[in-house]
Amino acid sequence: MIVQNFQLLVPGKKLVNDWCDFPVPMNMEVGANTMIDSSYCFEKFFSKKDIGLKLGNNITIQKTNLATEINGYIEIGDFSFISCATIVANEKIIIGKYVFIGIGVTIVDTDFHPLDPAQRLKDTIAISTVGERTKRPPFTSLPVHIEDDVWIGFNATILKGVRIGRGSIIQPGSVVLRDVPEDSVMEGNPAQLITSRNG
Amino acid sequence: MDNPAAQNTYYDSNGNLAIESDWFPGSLPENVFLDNMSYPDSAFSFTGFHSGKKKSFFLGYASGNYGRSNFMGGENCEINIGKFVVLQGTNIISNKSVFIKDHCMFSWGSVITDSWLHIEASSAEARRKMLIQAANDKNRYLEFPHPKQVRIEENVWVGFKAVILPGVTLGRGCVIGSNSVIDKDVPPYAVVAGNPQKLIRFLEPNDTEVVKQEALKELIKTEYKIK
Repeated sequence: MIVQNFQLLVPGKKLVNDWCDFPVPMNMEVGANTMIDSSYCFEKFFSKKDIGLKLGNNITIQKTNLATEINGYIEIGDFSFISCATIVANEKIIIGKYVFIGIGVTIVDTDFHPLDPAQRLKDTIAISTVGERTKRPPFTSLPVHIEDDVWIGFNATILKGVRIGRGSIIQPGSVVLRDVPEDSVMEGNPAQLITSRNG
Repeated sequence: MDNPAAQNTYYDSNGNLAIESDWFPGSLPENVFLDNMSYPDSAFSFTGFHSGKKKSFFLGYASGNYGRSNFMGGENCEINIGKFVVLQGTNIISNKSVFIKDHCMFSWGSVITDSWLHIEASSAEARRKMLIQAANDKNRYLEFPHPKQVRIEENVWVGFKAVILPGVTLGRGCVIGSNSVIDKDVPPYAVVAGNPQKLIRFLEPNDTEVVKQEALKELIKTEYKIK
């Protein structure tokens, strides 16, 4: 069987010879020449929004998980390239144009669970096989913004509420917890500013 | 046919080498070479491999790919993997050369790459050009300029989610801690960890030829032949 590595992504349309059977969601907007390798990408796409995913033109998405909770929304701009990454939106993750997201990168807009021990204990019960998810205690989520021309290196982690300014480079393996100014280079865990081209 | 791998292989209707009972419906690129008793696991690991070189991927004797590794390779890449190597969900990215010697182990999520940005020389405009080129490529392959060979000597152990960056040589017997980012050479038998990397200590270089031969003799008893 000939497997096409990449196929055009069309809302609701199954890919040819896909190894994976997850439905390609209907509630998304996709631009021209945007390609994907498998519907595996949507294994955990639970968004019930009218538009839960908005993709521009000429985007490449490879071996990546775009996961959303029911109110989650992900937006990705033209010519962005995402390879073997995990992007999880409880609320909102906005990725600009010409963004590179490398192998092993994780981007999340939430901590998924409360920090407080008592609330966290309650959460383990609510999300268990015998619990009710509607009884989950509240937990924080803050939108993530990745502006145009940002490159995120292999195995880097971008946590909730972070805005990465236009043109910045996140070095491989960095863990980014705070906003990054434009045209910066960040490195380490926690990520530190190593160069700023704004002087 | 000659069928040396530890998994059964066959030629599919298009004449491409495929792995029997592969869960992924694809075949191996024609320039992938499998030595005796090697375990390529699945064609899934090779979907991003686009080398135009004749012999561009070599998996040595009794070496295995387990747990969905990814081998991403550009037009001019060569990935060479020695004997008795364990690749457990490892990502290798090559546009030039990744050379791994015998008895190395790589844990899940580790990245070994001969390609990344040259920060000083990287303008947003140059990076845009790379992405436009990738979007126009039939394989959607993103080629990095100026790759630098990565060399990994014998008996190196790389922990989970560690990143080995372009131009690095990992010395014999060294250990790389999990989540480390390695951008400088690591001396033989060093234990290195952290991001940025820190030298923790040195190990005793006791992995002698005698030790190796003793262990291999045990193998012969179990009827496996050593090349």
